[in-house]
Amino acid sequence: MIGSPLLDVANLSVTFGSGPAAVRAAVGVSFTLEAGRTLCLVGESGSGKSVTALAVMGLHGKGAHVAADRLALAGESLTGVSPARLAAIRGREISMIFQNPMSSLNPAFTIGYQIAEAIRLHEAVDKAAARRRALDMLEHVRIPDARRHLDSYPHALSGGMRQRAMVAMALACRPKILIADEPTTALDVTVQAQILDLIETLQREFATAVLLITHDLGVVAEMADEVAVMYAGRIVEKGPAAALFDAPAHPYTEGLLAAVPDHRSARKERLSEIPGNVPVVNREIPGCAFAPRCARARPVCAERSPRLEAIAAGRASACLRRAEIEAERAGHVLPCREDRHA
Amino acid sequence: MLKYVGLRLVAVIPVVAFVVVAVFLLLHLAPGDPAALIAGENASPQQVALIRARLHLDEPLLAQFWMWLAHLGTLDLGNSIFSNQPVARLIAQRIEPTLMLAIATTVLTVLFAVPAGVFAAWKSGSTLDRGVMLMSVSGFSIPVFVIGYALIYVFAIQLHWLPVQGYKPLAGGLWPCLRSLLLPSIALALLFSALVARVARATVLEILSEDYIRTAQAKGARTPRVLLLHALKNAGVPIVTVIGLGFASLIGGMVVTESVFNIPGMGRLTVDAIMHRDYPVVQGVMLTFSVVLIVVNLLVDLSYSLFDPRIRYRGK
Ligand SMILES: Nc1ncnc2c1ncn2[C@@H]1O[C@H](COP(=O)(O)OP(=O)(O)O)[C@@H](O)[C@H]1O
Ligand SMILES: [Mg+2]
Repeated sequence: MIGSPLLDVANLSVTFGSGPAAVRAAVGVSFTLEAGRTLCLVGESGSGKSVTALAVMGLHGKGAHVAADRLALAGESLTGVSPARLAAIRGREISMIFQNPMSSLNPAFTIGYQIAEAIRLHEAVDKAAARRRALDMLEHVRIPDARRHLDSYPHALSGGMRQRAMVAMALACRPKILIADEPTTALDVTVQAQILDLIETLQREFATAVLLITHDLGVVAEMADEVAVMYAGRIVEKGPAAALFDAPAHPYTEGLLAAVPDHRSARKERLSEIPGNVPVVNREIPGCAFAPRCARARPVCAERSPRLEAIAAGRASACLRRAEIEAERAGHVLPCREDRHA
Repeated sequence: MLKYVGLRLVAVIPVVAFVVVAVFLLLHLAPGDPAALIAGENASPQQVALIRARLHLDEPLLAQFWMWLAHLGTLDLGNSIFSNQPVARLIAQRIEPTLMLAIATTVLTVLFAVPAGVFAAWKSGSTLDRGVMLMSVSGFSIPVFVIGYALIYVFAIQLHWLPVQGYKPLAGGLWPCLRSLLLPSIALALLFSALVARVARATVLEILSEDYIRTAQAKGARTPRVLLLHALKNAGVPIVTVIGLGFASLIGGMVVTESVFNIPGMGRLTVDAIMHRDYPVVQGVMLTFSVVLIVVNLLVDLSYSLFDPRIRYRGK
């Protein structure tokens, strides 16, 4: 391996509970994130995106069982790391912002205190210096009247402003990675674009890599370099954003794309939701988890489990019928290729 | 902020007025002739008449009330029927042990119950959590006098570490005073802690599932900081509330504790006054306890603004 990726996740699994009622919220999840890049983790609600991100941050509670072949940040393994080391990494090397800015800030402390705290947890700076840096961060995230809002409590700020404050806090120590879990889902549409814009600008300025979690392919199109599509706890397709949008390899990705108005071509057709819901995975079921909802499913899909297999440069998909589907699309039938081995 | 304090202070006025009227009416709302009630069953008519005259019970109610109020204004609570001493002086003599006991108990409770509750919440479902909860249930169900005598037996009689009974006034030095109060305040604090630990645990447990706790962890705060700063500051309002409310029930426990440990405080004064039907003293004691409770509640109210900035701003 030449130079390890900034974030390297291999075969990550997260299980809640045990026995037959155990929920397998993430299964065999693997991805990498390179410095300064943006990876979008996309999928419907309940597909395991947050669970994956929390596992990377080591933020799961007692109820979760997390296992991974490899979970490494800049070459340093995060599995089995001491609580002290983990705390030193969080906020400094890797930060996270969350879906709901209304509840993610502590109501009992001022914005300024909470940002300064993030700095003082990791750097030996005095209160005054931390406060100056907090002010600087508030200006960076373009909170108007930053000096006054330094001493504001969260309740005095709107949702958008609170998410800006969260971004300021997360980036205060210039981490290498920012994980943003649906950072705009809870916000007004007009504010959403501003927050994404802000993340993009600061990402460039601070050279931060971003793991952006979203269910909105519009957001993906806007932000992503790479995309990983999750379904029922597994990554079903991943690859460079442009290639994936141009020719989705997995029927699930196809379905997701059909559900958003295509912003590239001027097509404004009726949105088609994928019928049905994301299943909760309790045990190893034979077959493809998406098969019951898949328009392209055949009997074989209910029997064999697909594997995530490389299909082209940097692309991978987990669909038993990928070759056939590709051929159907192309309009002619190719012999079934079996050029991948396990 | 000042406006908030002002509003709280103004809100106290009607409560005080109510207490004053209620305490005054105490004697008059009891069925029958109050003078006969005070004099007791075996009293002669002359004795009853004497009492009636001394307490001005033959005057119109309103006149009596104004008189009582006027005396109250000069802190004159009348004289004890039993010992003929001024009630105010009796109370002044007895209030120190009781206040000291209450303060010691509250301090012990806060020092013990709050960390125990936070810890139990953090380790919820563990053996330690169950241990804390078991202690809490025991604190509720074992009477104070049982705990009190058990403590005396172990620490005073068997181990000779601490005095068996009695109270050393503050004037003789802080340490001897605290030593004399240690066992009684532990006995009371166990009772009080049962309540406070329970509320602290429940409150913190709920807070630990809040998003901002995850945010604190995500920015690199370690567990003690998350628990004692981020969680506890938000748990302040319910915890302080239960301490304030619990204070009222503490007064009942204090009466028992004072007699177990032979502490010459308000509790004993109250019991004696009730037994002797010494109404002026009973009134004085009730008034004192009420004022203490009002002050405690006021402090609780004011402390809210320390924990929850929204309260401070609402008062603006
Ligand atoms: N703490 C938990 N306990 C049990 N199940 C959980 C827990 N957190 C998440 N799950 C389950 O894991 C699955 C994936 O959840 P999540 O990662 O939150 O989805 P999303 O992709 O919407 O972020 C869901 O089925 C959810 O019910
Ligand atoms: Mg989620």
